[in-house]
This record gives sequence, structure tokens and C-alpha cells, in this order.
Amino acid sequence: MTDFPTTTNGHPPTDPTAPLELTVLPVRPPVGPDGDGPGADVVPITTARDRRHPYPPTMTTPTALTGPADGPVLEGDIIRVDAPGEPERDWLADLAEKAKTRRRIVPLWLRSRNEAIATLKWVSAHYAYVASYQITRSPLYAGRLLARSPRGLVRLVGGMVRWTFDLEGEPVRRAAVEKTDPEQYLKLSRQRDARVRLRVWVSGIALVTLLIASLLMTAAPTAAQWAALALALAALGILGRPADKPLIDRAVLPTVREKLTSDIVVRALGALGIAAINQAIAKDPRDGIKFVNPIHRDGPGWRADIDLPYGVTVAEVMEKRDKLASGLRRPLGCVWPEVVPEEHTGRMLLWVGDQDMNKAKQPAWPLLRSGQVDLFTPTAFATDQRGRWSALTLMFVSVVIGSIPRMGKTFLLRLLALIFAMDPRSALYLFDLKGTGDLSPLECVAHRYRAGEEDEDITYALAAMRGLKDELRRRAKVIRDLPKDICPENKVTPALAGNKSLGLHPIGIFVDECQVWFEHPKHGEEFEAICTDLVKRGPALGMVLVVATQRPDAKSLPTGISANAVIRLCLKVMGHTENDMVLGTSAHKNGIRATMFSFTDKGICYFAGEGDNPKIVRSVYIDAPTAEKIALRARALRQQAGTLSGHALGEAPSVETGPAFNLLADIAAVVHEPKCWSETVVARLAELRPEVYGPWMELEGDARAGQLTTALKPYGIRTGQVWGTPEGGGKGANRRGIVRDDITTAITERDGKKGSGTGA
Amino acid sequence: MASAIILLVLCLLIVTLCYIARCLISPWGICRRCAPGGKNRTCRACSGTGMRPRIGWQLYTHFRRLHRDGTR
Repeated sequence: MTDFPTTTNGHPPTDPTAPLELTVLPVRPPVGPDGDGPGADVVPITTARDRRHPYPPTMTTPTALTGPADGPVLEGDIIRVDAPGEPERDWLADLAEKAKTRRRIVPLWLRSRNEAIATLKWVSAHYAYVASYQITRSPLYAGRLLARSPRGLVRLVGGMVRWTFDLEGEPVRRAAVEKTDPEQYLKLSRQRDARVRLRVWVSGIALVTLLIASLLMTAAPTAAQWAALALALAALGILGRPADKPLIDRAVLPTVREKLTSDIVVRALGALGIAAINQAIAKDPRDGIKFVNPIHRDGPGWRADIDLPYGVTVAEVMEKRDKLASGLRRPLGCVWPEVVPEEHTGRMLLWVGDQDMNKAKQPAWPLLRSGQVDLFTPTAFATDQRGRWSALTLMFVSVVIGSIPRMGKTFLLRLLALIFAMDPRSALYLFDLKGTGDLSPLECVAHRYRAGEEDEDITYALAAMRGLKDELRRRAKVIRDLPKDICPENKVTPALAGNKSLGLHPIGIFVDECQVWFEHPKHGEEFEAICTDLVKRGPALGMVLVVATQRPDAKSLPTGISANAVIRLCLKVMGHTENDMVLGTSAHKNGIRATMFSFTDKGICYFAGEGDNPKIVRSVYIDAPTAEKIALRARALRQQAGTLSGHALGEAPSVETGPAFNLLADIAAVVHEPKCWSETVVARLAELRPEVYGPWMELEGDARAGQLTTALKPYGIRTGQVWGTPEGGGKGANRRGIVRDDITTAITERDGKKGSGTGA
Repeated sequence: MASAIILLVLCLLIVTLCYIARCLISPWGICRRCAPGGKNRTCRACSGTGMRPRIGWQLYTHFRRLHRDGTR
């Protein structure tokens, strides 16, 4: 009884509510030598005071107690640190507070149609299974019953006889005889006689009923006779059951699913070795750790909302997740402490799953069999720990995927590419720099596709990326020129993306093992420049760059890209540097740690960028054949929409005609004087791009000029006699040459026409 | 044949129920030994009251006693 008032000075404890004290004290000043009166108990001053007097509040203030003994005369204002009495309670505010902790009227699993259907499906599947299991074994059970029925008959008859004649009391009666205790014997035998008299009647009636029933059965149809016989045999078989052998086998072994209780949680938290938690538990074992809600089922697991002790943050607990799992005696993949975003930092949502996250069955992906995607709305691509769908909007973002090899990086990239492909408006640029063809299922929908990292692959990619650079500029111009009522926010809208003539369809660039590009000795810088531009300006213009790499350090993934990416997906990484590189600086410190994933957690990643807090999700597992099926569906969608283009149509990549070789621009770049001889132009061009124009240079002098003339003919530019001087100096002469103005006019004209075309 | 049996059983049931109701309403019947001719003070069957419990009631009390004794 620790709640008993402690006594001081050896006084007996008295009831603090005793009326004696209360009648005396108002007359006396409340000051006085403590411990003299009979009420020297330790009583909270506020409660005692409240009980005494409601009206003289100044007399009972703490300062009055320490004031002069001759009277409670006080001067000046008394300022308390704490406001007196109970805090003012506003019932409306109280109600609002209560509204926060409301529990749902409709349980969580019934709120979402899909979840409810899934739950019902699971339940019905379970019972259907149990039923079929038992039905297939029913002949076995019948045989068992038959085999046991003779024993049942013997037991029945024996039991009836014993009961009717009260044979169980026989040994006692005999003992009474042997002890020669006539009184006892008479008493016992009288009781037995009384019993038997009744029981004979009962047994007799039962027998007669049975007899009548069997007589009636002889007249009944054969089927009924068989049924009655079966019933009787079954009853006898049940009676004849050996004590240790049940009749029916168990279809499902009972799962050893330990219920999560507050004791277990407190025990586990106490075992973390966090000093503040241990102190709180030691001080108050019951309320040191508060549970905000009762621990309840939430999805396939238990959920506990916990208020950690003052000063302990959830991040500290998340840091010791492995210890927590040990304390809870659960596998690591079942224990998921989480921050509650809109609450204080000590509010922890602890979700303990029944199954390891990487082993739990994932619901079927909604897009697996049918459907298409609108990239402007969120698309489910992964499930969280509780099996709920996590969605991602693959528009106005750029994505970085990072992890150590063999953790599902490429699968994740392919999944995102599949989602992108299922919007028929989009154009896909796929670059598999690992070169193993992981993205090949998507080849049939890709606008540009290349697997490998050979020189020619790099050239191809470079051409494509240059095209994208031009496309970026063109898009910016298009959007700038659009009237405000069509494009109010200066970015691509779903309506604009669907408008084919504007060419603002979503473009997705998916690069696996992107470090190959950025570490390329020759073109690395150019790739970097283009990609950085795409990451910075692309999202608003409907261009999405998705890169996957192993260790996104400054070299393999330039900071310009990694710092500006909106969505980060981090599968298992080995160290905190990698973690921070993918998930952002100080993510590791804040408890967002992809290092805690185990090697079996394939496809499980931290997903940051959508929603307030990074979440742990498990991405949908789509293997290559499935990916191929989905891609074929996407291709059908595209064929229907008429948006199949580029590589998917078997078009040769436009490397030759691409921006790498743009004659007009090159001429404009090398010719600065208003008029120039053809041979001079060719010489300068050869200097600029030896690999392209070199062959021209090898021609004879006259043929060189002829080559230029033929090359310029498609652009509608004629060569004529122009006045010029040789480069090295010398006499001026009239020779075949070009006028620079013609070139610039042609460029302007071409650009004007090309306004609605695609970039590359 | 079958309908006759059903009719019989039904009749029997009704008669039994009626008799039970009668026993419940008035457990005392007339002493057959003396009462038809008027009370006889010296009748040993009814102690001269001219009333005896009905057979059904006697059966009921008998079985009640049997049950009480047998389950004590």
C-alpha cells in the first residue's frame, strides 16, 4: 500500500479528509509550525486548500506560507509561475481534441473497395480450402467412425448399466460393509435405492423409445433405414473415440501469431538501451510509455500508437530497429516503427506485421492485366508494409534510383518505364548501359532504344540526347508562345500533352547504369550538361529523366542531377554516404536508412519525394516475360492511338541527319564574311568536322565546290560567282562560292517549318 | 390407415392435455369408494373427506418424489 499517506514525526496517519481539520483551519491562520497539528500528513497543498476555502485566495498562496508569522498581510502582486487551478477548459476545444483521436466508424479494411474485396477473397479462399480438404477426407472419417462404433456400443451399454444401477458407489458400500458400519451402509444403500428407482424409469423409457423408433424404422423406406443406421453408427463411432486421437485432421496448422500486447512493447522499448526510456519505465512502469490508442489489428499486423517519454524521438528508436525486433521477438522485416507526420516527434506508430515484408504476399498489380495510365495522375507501383498501394506521379519529376547491385534496381527502372509506356501519349528513350538487354521487353514501344556501352551505342545515345536538348529548347519556346488561357502556368498540362500538333507529349528518358555516360572520357561532360538541363528544366516541359546507378557519387551521378531530382528511390545501400547521396543530405541522421534493409529485401526501397515523409515500399515484381506482355499491351494502345514512333517502328536512328551533322548550321558557324568561296568553305568544314567533311576535302579542287553545290541544293541555295580573296592573302578573284545571307535565310526558313516536328 | 392413426394420436394428445389441465386446475377428485353415495365419515380411503387426489396428480407427485429422492 504505497498510496497510503506517509507519516512524519511519528504521528499516526489520519485521513486528510477528516472534518476535524477542515473546521479548525479557517479560524487559524494557515501559517504555523509544520508537523504540530494532527494533520501533518503530506497532502498536496492545492487540493487541501481547495477543500478548505473557496473565498480568501490570497491567504493560501505559497508566499503566505513563508510570510511573517503574525498574519497573512501581503503587499504587492503575487505572480505565479504556473496558473492556479485547473486549466480553463473550453468544451469546444475539448471536442476538437477528441475529434482528433476518433476511431473509424467503418474499419480500415472496409474503407477501400479493393482492400475489402481482397479481405473477403482471402477469407472465402481460406474456408473453401478447408472445406475441400475435409470433404476429400470424408470417406476416411466414415471409415474411422465405422471402426470405432463397436467400441462405442460397448461403452454405451456399459455406461448405461453402470449409471442405471449406480455401480460407481459400489466400492463405498462394500467398504462400509467391511468396516461393519451399518448406519453408513444403510444410508448409502437407501440413497442407491432412491437413485436406482429413478434411473430404471429413465433407462426404461429410453429403451422403449428406442424400440418404438426401431419398429417404426422397419416400415420406413430403405434410404431412411440406411440413413438411420449411418447416424447410429456415427453416434457410436463418436462415443468410441480414443481419447488421444481426434476424428478430424486439421486442415491448417494453427499459426503461432503472438498477439502484440503493451507489455511486450514496453519490454522491447526498455531493451533498446535508450536512457530516457529506461528512466521513464523505472519511474512509472505502467504509464512511463503511453499508448494513445488500444493496440489493434491494422492490415496483416498489429498497430500500436505510442507516446515515447519526453525527449525521446522516433528517429532514435528507428535507429535501433534491430534491437526493437529482438525485444519484440519478431523477424526484422516485421517490425516497422514510423513517424506520425502531423504529430509531435515522440509519437511513434509501431506496426508489427505477421509476416516478413519480403515474404508477405503482394496483392496483384492493378495494371498487370488491363488498363492504361494517365501520367498526370498517381499510379500505384509499390505496396507499403501494410500491403496498401503506394502511388507515384511520373510527371513533372525526375527520378534517381540507387542501390548496390542485385537488389532490383533495374527491375524498378523497368517497372517505371512500363508505367510510362502504358500512357499512349508518351515517348520512351531507353538506354540500357549495362548492356544485358534488361529493357529489351520495352523495345517494341520505345522511341529510342539501345543496349550496350560500345562506342557506337554512345554515339547513338549522344545523338538522341542532343535531339532532346533541342527538343527541350523547342518546347520551352512553344510553351512561352502559347496563349495564357491555354497554358496558364507555363507548364505542360494533360490537355497540352494530348495535343499532337504541339508535340508536348511526355518524354521519358530511362538510363540504367547511368555512370557509364557521365564517366565517359570523351562525351561525359556533354552528357552531364544535357542531363542536368533535363533534370532542371525538363520536368516542367514534360520530360522525365529516370536514372539508376550503383553509387551515386559526384562522378557517377553529377550533383546537378542528384540534387535536383524530385523522386528518390533507394534500395539497399551499404553505407550512410550512399544513403545520403540518394535520399538527400542528413537522411541517414534523420533515421531514413536504406542501410537497414537486408540482402533478401529485394525490391524494397525507401521512396522519397511523394508525400511528406519517405516511405518504405516494396515495388511490384514484374519479371521479363510479364514485362513483355505488358509492353505488348502498351504497344497495342499506341497503335490504337497512332503514337508508335521511332525505334518501335523500326526506324533507323537519325544519326546522319541529326544535329550531329547539320550542314547549314555548320556553314553558318564557319563562314563569317558575307561572301565566301566554296573551296574555302569546304576546307573550313573539314577542319570543323573531319569525320564528316573529310571526304570532301580529298576531292579535287573543282569537285570540292561541286560537292558543296550538290549538298546545298536540297536547301534551295545556289552557288554563284563571288568575289573573294584567298585565305593566306593574295589577289582577289571571282570564283564559285556562297552568300552567307542565303544560308541564314535558309536556316530561319527551316526552323520556321520545323516548329511542329519532334526534336530528333 | 395412416390418417386414422394420425387422428387417433391427435385425439390421445388432446385428451391427455385436457386431463393435465384438469389436474392442474383441480387436483382433488371425488372419492370413488364413498363419495358417490354421499360422504362416509368412516371411509379410510379419504379419511372421511370424500375427496381424493386425482390419479394423474398422484402419479405426478409420485414421480416428483422419485426424482427428488433419486437426485439428492
